[in-house]
Amino acid sequence: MHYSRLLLVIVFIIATSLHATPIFDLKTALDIGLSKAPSLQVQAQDLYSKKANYRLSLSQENPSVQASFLPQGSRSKIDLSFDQNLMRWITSPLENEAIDSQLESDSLLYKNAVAQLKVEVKKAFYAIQAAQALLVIQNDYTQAAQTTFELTKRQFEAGNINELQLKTNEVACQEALTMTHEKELSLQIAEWHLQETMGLAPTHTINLVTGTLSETLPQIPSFDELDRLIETQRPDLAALYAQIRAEKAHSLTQEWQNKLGNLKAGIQFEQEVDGTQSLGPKIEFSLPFLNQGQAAFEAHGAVIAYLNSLLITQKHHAQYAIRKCVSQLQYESIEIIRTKTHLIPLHQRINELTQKQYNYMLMGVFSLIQAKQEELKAQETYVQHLASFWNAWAELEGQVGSIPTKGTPQ
Amino acid sequence: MKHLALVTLLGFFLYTSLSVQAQHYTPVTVPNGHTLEWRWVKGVKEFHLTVEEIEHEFAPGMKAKCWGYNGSTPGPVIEAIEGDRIRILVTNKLKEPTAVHWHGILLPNGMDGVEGLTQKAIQPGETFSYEFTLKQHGTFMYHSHGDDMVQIGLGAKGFFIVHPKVQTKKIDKDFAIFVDEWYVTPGTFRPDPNKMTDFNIFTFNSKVFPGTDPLVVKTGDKVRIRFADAGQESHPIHLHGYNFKIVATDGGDIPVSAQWPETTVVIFPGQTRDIEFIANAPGDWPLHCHRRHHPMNAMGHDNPNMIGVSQEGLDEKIQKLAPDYMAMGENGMADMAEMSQHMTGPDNTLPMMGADGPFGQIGMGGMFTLLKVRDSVDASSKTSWYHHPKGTVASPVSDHESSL
Repeated sequence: MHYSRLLLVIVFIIATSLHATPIFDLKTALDIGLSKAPSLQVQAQDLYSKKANYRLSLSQENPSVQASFLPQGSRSKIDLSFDQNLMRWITSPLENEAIDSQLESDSLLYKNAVAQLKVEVKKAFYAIQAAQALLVIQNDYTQAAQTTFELTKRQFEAGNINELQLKTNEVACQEALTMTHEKELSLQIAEWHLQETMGLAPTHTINLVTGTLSETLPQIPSFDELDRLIETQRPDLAALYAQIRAEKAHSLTQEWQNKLGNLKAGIQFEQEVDGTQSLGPKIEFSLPFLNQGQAAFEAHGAVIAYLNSLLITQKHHAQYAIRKCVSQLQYESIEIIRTKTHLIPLHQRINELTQKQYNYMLMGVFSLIQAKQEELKAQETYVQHLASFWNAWAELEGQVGSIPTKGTPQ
Repeated sequence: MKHLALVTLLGFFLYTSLSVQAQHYTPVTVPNGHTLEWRWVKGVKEFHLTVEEIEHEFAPGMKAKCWGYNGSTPGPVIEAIEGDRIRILVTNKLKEPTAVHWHGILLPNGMDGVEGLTQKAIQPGETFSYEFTLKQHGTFMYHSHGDDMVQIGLGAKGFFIVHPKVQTKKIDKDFAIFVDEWYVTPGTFRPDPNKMTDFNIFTFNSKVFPGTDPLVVKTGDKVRIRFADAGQESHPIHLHGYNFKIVATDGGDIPVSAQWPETTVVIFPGQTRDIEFIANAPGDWPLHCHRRHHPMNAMGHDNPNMIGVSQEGLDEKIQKLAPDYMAMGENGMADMAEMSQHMTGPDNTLPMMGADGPFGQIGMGGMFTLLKVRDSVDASSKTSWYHHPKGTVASPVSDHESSL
């Protein structure tokens, strides 16, 4: 008997799990996005291309050979020289540093693109969660409006209300239906947006039934902590730092090149017509009399200044952006808690009290339904605040690179 | 010695005349109320009224903070005899000034009790004395005449009944009933005196059925019922089983030749009406206001009309939104009387109607009470139901009988 019951339970569990709709979670969305997002693919290809170009620019110049034969009767004058540009050997450590820094900058920019993609995927994912929840609430609201209309229709058929009253009620019902369609559209657009952000083809069929928005709110970090995170974690700022280092290395390279000119060394062999031969070292360089590289130096200086001011501007922008996000998060968290602990229970209490009023015929059935609709509106407000919170949280993560906080959807 | 004998003789005559005076009228019976005590002070009947905030019960299950005199609304009945010199001390225990107007009484202008006009206002904590001689008899009122809207609206009113010096007719039972209307927001504990219309509580002596005391009389009694209205609305009071005559107003007795039979008497605001009849038909006879919403308690003024509206199939949908929902009113509201016994309403609120009766629920409330006419009256008459002689109660008939 016990075994048969156990068997029944197992069969039930298997059957339930087979029919249960799998939940599409944020991790899956991020995984797909990171592997398929076209914008990220473009950035990755760009990064590979830049790396190849850097390797190209670092490749050493081959030695050059010059030879001339000047026939003079039966003899010829021969002139042979073998040159090697030495500047690359001298400046290559600097050039390597510049390229390494440039590579680091580009990698960081790619990392930034990854972080931004995560932000976009998260925002799109939260938007779907919100849209799904709002649609469920709206469906209940609309069902209430339809029930109200059905009641008024019966009142009209019973001769208790006139057509004007009936039509007025029908408007409310139609408006509720419009709101349902709007919510359906919002969900559809949110689904398209997530698929687009993840880089899936529009023809791709995917189950986007998500779980609900998390109601566990993480602790909002302090401004100091966030300012520090901007300095240490934000990839695009780190990329700017690297680019400044690269530019400085470029500038130093230029300086050396201007100091030493086009330094070449080699061996020269000459044979005169009379057969006299000479072999000796050769060195060649330009004299920086007229061009000491001021313009190039200034150009590099200007780029470095530009990058520094860009860095300051971006930091400045980021500091304000995180403050806006934090303000938004603080507002949303207060409203979430207030709605959850006060507004919704308040409406539930109103429902109970309305029921008591209805019991004593102090209020009618429409008041009862309307009270429930007001509670649904409060629930809608709650979901909207929750969605805004997570949207702002994703935005904040984007502003600081990432927030090492436990318990948040990553 | 001669003087002592004269004083003794005078005292004897005075005592005798007072004793006769005290016994020659039938004292007023006040359903749910009481009569104000008085004392002789040097040949003056002295009464003492204290206006104050009180806790008043409209019926079991509903109390409110009202304003009244000597702990009740309406205040106790002042009962005196035409020709009496009376003094009424009025102590103000409210937190605002007041004055008391002796409505319908013929008196010196300075005793009329209009705050600011005929006297200084009685400030909180002060006691004023009104003194005058009663020159008429009849049913009168007293009520506040300072901040009338609030003070009368919250219950500061009472009967002032002056019996004739010479009784020309014998009355066995003399009742006094104040009609009034209130607005008490369901779930609150204080009437709203700002309300001008759409009242929701309608009272006899500030009580609603089933909190109203019945009028118990013996078969054959000559009955007088005095009505007074210090409220906002008129009330057509109807008595079942009898016709009666309106014998007096607060303007005086109506000559017999001018009286005509009635079954309903309308009392307008600021009026009193006395009706008389002989209680010759035993039974439990309703006495109620004939405005349809007055013999009932609070109900929503904007309730939708659901009569004849089938809610079949919609109940479940509505219950998804409001789990305790139960369709009501499709076939009328009579079922409310029964349902109200089982359903929970707002705090401090009475069901719209409903009280246990001998044949089921009595679908009444508000301005409704019973005239209980019995061949013999005892302590149980107030609460017991009338035993109908066999064959005198309406009863179902068979299909065969109904088809005839």
